[in-house]
Amino acid sequence: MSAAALLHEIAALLDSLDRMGQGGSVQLNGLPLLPGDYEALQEALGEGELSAELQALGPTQIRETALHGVWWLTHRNSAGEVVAESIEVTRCPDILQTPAEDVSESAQHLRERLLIACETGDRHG
Amino acid sequence: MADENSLGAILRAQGVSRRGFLKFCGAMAALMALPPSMVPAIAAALGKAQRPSVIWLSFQECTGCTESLSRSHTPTLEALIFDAISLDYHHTLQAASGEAAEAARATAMKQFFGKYLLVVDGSIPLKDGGVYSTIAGMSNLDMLQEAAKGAAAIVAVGTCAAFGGIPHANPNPTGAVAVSDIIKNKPIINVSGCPPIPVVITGVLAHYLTFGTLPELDDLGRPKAFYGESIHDRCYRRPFYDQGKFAKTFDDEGARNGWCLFELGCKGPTTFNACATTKWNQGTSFPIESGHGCLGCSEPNFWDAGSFYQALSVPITPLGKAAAIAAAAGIAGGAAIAMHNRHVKAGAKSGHQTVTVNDLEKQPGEAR
Repeated sequence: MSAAALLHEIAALLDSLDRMGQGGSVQLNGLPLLPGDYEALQEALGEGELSAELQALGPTQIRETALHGVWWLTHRNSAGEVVAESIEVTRCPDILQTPAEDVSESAQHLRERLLIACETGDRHG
Repeated sequence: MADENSLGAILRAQGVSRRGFLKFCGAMAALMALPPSMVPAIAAALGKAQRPSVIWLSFQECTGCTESLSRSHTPTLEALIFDAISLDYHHTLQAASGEAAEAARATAMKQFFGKYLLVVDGSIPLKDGGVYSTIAGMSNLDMLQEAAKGAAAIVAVGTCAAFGGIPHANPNPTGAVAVSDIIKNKPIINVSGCPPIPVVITGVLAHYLTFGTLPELDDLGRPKAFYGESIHDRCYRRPFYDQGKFAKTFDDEGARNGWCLFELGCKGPTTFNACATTKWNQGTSFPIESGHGCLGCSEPNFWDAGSFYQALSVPITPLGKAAAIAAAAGIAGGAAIAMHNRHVKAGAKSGHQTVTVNDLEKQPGEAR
């Protein structure tokens, strides 16, 4: 397994995303990478304009690489150890989007807060 | 919303957000060697799964398997799986002791009869009525047979429980045997290794938690997801093996260049485990990467398979003849050599012959 082979796989996924709207992902932790392959892959993909950090069960870094549509996700536990790492070819990684049920819950939550604020005469909610 | 006893509810109650749950499911998919496309299905299944009762029995063991699992000073995602299950009995880890502990075990076995998961580490001694390992005055043999009756499945953790391990090694003074030598009427998953890689243990539990079934097993009862390939097949030093670049002694130039450790006794070709890909200590390294050959610790009788520092022995038939037969059948020379390597350990036990790696390299004129 080498960086070049992975890049070919990513290219195929990008083609698929472009033509059929269906990308995919590559799990990095299961691969027998030679020392240097990981850094070579990072260098080949580069860093893009968008980076996000999720704080849930430890930090997760979500970065778009210099190649639009190719995202690098690093999941760490609360001790900072990497528990999973993957490259996702997509317009937006699933974990970045707000889950639909969370939206329903916040809508309800905010309504309730405004109702209480109204009742107690607190203008700021 | 799913009922209070479901895994989803338990995680939410612990303050895990939906994104956190998705991250957890992604890590679980990685643990079970499943593709990321399966994460939504895993999330749906885990969200509804019931918290299973788990009874852990430690028999004639060194506690290395429990240590492998719990040796984590800070919480990890794998540790969450242990929070998610209801570990009703584990005499090393639990707070209760003595009669209270045994009562807890009896209660759990009765309440969840037919449904609890039984996890066993350590071998079971049979000699002299099983007197060489007892808990609360009860022999391991009796305890296993009693607990197995109401178990949905049994996970034999570690080479001792899976194959007899070190107590079973020559001359086996206690008559130690594996779980599968005693229990014949329950599904058994062998998670071998001395110790097994922690994520392999939790991966098997994760699979059971998610799907309620046993993962696909090989002919030694080990989950194929983790034991389906040999160390040799996934070793990052394989290019050196293929080029014939071997370290001759520890710390010679070849060793310092990271060359293949075959001549220093590496048992990678005949050992099936996830060490080369999953690695140890959260993916830090594994024996070969640290400069020492594989001991073959996830295979039966690895303690009796000849020296850890002697190269895998020559097979019973000379390579040339067997390779010629293989070539005649249309198989490439490389596969013939691989086939030989798989029979090597059986040959070693009966043959006790020494070999150099040249015996296993291709002969002139042989097809590759």
